[in-house]
Amino acid sequence: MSRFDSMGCEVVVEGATPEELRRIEALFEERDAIFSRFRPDSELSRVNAAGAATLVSPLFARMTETALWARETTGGLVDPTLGAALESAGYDRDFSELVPADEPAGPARRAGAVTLLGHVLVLRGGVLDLNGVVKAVAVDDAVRLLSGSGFVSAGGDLATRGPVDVALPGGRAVRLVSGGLATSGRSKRHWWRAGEEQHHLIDPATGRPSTSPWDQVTVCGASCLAADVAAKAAFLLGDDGSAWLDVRGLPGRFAAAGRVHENASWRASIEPRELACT
Amino acid sequence: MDTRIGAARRRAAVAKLTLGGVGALVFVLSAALARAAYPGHHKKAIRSLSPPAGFVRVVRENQLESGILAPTQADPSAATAMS
Repeated sequence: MSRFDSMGCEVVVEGATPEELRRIEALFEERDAIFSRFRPDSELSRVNAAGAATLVSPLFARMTETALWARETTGGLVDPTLGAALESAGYDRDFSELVPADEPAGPARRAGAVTLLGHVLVLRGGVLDLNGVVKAVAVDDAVRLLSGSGFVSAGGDLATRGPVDVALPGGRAVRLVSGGLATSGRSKRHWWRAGEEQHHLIDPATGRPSTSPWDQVTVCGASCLAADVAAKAAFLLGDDGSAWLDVRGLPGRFAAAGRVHENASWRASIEPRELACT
Repeated sequence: MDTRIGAARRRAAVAKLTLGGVGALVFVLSAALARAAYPGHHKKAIRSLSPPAGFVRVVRENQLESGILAPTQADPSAATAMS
């Protein structure tokens, strides 16, 4: 098992040959260089600075298209144009550099509008933040580089080729047979402003960090991207998140203050089944 | 004499006009038939080969589908945490 740091989190790779590991590290480094909000020379920073129609690279266009798919599929919950709200809440530098501050968080900032016309991106009234989908897609792309069985995990968002047993927040574990597993929540990526807790999951309805009752939501998807997008949406939906996942057949596990709720799809996936004999 | 020559010229002019008209008509009809019957000619406005919008919508929605979970069978070798 190999580990390295990229995109502000630890990346864990299992089952890679030395050459595959080198390619995976290069893939993460490339994505970070293009999509980091905190690198002034990144393509994302250039697009946000331009604030109008910008010609973007094919990879940037692909990630924007993916982010727009996430917004459409979640009814606007997972929105890529809430970067200004994150900055207003205080997430304006690499997470490892965030320290508690006495000044309060800034005002609420609403989502903007982004349109992609081929490789021309038009951004109006928002700051683009593609980090969520970029990390999940990087995990999915990296696991495709494995020639045999193994998995890739970035900050706990995981995709596998072949079964893998995965520890869950709170001490239990589950076997991921195929697809991806992602956990979104406020427990790790949070910080303080004037004694008030802030976190990175912005509610597009308020432009502020979500007041969801959950601390963390874990979802299993056909890919790491599907799991990550669904976990964020379920977290933001609060008490309605469990049913939202069930309607789509997505297993979800919700945790808050020592309480764990597993939706019907999750329970159906992991409960032992009796085989019918005819 | 002049009357017979004049009448002959008029008949010749009518014959030329008739032949020209029939020739033009045959040409137009042939072109129309070729356009309608020859497989290399498109009969309707050209449409792109993109799939129907409804199909695209269903495929996009299906991208948010489940993976496969099972009860754990060994000590965990990976962990999912908060991102």
